[in-house]
Amino acid sequence: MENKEYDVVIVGSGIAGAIVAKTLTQAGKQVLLLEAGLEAGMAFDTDGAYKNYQEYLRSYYLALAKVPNAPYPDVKDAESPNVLDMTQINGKPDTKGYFVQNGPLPFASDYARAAGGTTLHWLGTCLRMLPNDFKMHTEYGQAVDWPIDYEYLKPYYEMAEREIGVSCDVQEQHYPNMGGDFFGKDYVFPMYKIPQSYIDKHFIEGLNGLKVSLNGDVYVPWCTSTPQGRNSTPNEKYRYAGTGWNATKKKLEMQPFPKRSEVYEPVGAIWDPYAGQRCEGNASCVPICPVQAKYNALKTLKSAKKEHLTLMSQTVATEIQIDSSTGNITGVAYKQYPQADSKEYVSGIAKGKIYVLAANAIENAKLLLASDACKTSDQVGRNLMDHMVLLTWGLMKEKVFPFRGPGSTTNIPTFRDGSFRKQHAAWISPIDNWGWGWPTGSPDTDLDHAVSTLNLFGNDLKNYLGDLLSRQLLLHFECEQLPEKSNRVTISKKYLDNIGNYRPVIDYNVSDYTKKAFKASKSVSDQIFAGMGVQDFTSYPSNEPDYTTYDGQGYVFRGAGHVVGTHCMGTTAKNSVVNRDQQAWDHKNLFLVGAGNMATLGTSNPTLTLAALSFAAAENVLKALK
Amino acid sequence: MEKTTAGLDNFIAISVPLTGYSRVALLATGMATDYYHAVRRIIGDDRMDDFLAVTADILQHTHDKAPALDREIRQQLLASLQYGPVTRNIIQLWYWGAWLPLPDAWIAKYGKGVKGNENHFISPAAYQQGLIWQAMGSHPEGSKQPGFGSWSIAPLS
Repeated sequence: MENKEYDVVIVGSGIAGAIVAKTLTQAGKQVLLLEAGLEAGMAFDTDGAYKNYQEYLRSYYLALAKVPNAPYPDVKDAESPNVLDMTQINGKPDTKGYFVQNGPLPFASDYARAAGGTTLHWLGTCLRMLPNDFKMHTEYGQAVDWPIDYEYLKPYYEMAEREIGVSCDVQEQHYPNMGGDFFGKDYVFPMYKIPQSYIDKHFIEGLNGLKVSLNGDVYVPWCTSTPQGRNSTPNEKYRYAGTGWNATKKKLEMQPFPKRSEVYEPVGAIWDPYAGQRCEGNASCVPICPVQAKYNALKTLKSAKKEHLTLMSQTVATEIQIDSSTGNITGVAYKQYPQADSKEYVSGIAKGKIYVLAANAIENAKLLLASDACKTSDQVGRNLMDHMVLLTWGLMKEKVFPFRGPGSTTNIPTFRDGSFRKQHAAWISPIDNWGWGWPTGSPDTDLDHAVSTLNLFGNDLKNYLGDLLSRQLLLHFECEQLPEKSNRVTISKKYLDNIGNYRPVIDYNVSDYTKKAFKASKSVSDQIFAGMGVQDFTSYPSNEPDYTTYDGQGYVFRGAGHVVGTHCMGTTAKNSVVNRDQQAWDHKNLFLVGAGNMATLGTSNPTLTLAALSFAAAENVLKALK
Repeated sequence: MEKTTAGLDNFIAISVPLTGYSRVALLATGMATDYYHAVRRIIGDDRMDDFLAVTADILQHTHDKAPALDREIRQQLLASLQYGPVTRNIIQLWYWGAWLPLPDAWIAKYGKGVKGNENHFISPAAYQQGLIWQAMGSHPEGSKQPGFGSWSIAPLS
């Protein structure tokens, strides 16, 4: 293994690494992929893949707290952060979980270090970023502009939507300031929209015509069906078979179906292409889709060209080695552990012409810091971002029957962009389909309350739960966080894991720019609830981990699982870690991929954007390989 | 064997008024035996036999009929320091599939020999068979999926 030089060495098998691996192998390149997670997760044979996934499902059923990482093995040799480890930080670092949290507020999101990465437990929302998201400085005097714009990314968004398999009705997509050609003439998604929920229908009807005041302006909020990476009914107008490298033109292209009669076929489970052909309404997308109707990166990895791809699992990249005279990367040092939680490991060095780090924003930053790489800008690890999610919840007047269907099928896009971004953060408001599960732990907390405190039993209990749980409404206000130097990942010799690798040390806080959006969005929520007759049950207790105050009011925000911005893309080697080609300024044969490259966050869930960027990166790697 | 069967029958019989679900509905979950053995295993034979004797007595002298039955369940079970926590746990077992730790005060007074009192699902099936899901017109999240698009209409009642 150590003697072979590959064309490209990739670290990480999540969606970014998988897209690069698939694109490069299909273009005939030899790729070595290192994955820190367990070997079992890499099984692609029918029996192995099914058995492994059933183990995940079993862990999910037995987990008391069904948090995002609950189904997946937590291996000491490649630990994953867990939201259950998050606590208030009082003066000294919280070292209980994998993260070392310096605070003042804890970073509230996790990710999965396993084959397939965090797409194992993502929700699947696939919104593109808006044109103004790429020019926050020019438009609103905030943060920075990206070195690329929406037009640059547009063709790659189409590739990502093909790869993920996005279900969406394009004519329903109305966003603020989206411009006249946001999707391109005649563009359709691979599949029709995922049906909107029964809750959505009631909510849309209730919201209809309601005027909302914000900062002295009047808005009439509207709802849009949400594009999602889960299987629905194929759209017969969709014409693309996939994405491929055109060696003559030196670019990636969407390839049309060879025959007019061909239609898009949903990509099913990795153990059986006929399983998961449609979303079956398991209502457990986060943390696990039992039938894999929801996209995960294992699907992409499975469609890579096998004979050109070498997979090494249980292999944790520890350092990239740098030739000090040229700045070029000469190898990736790794530790391969023989079984989960082993203290022992075998060391090795993976060699390629080009190196791609795709290990998640926090893991990429950690690896770069451990290697003393990309030092010129002093930006590695900085600008850590997440959507800060303010939740509001109440009871609808009528039964709307939540706890069914995908996590969210409709959103309010009205406040995703506008001149208010000069003063405060934009946000998107998904309407949640799963009751009060996120903020209060429903439904079992409601059961316990009914039995232990309300002293209900028998028919009274049944009727009480039937009424309460079927009227629960939950709204998200997912507020943008701007890149800030002080929100950062660092490493320290004081904090090492089971096999001597660094644990991420995180400094994190919320700025007034986002807090103002908490205040503004709570006011919007209050007006919506009043206008619709929703009984408000929202509360923000001061003992919650991410409790903060603004203008005399307390707020609790939650992490969205959107780990972004630790190796930002920019215009110069002084202000950023990678250039517009996603190539490290300091190391010509090093490409960084993933949400770490994002210069700002916008109001889209970042996976679609990072997938689009990964296609662009794969194209740039192919160009560099000649 | 006879004793076990009688105990199981008593357990199911009192579970009917405690949960609000019929004997057939409870049997249809397939969990009755597992729950019965789980409670017996955790609180021990003596406590279980005491509990079942009291519940058998309640059912017999109220002729299994409200409102007398409801009053007796409240007075003799829920209000009882000894039987209240166990009764509440049994209700929650049926609805959610998980055992809740009995309170410290109960353990101190009645808990000699209690084993496995930590919060846990009895089995993956116990989670899947929770009555709470049908009470709300849904299905256990991650299981018994109702099919494409089912969430866009009201559940069949």
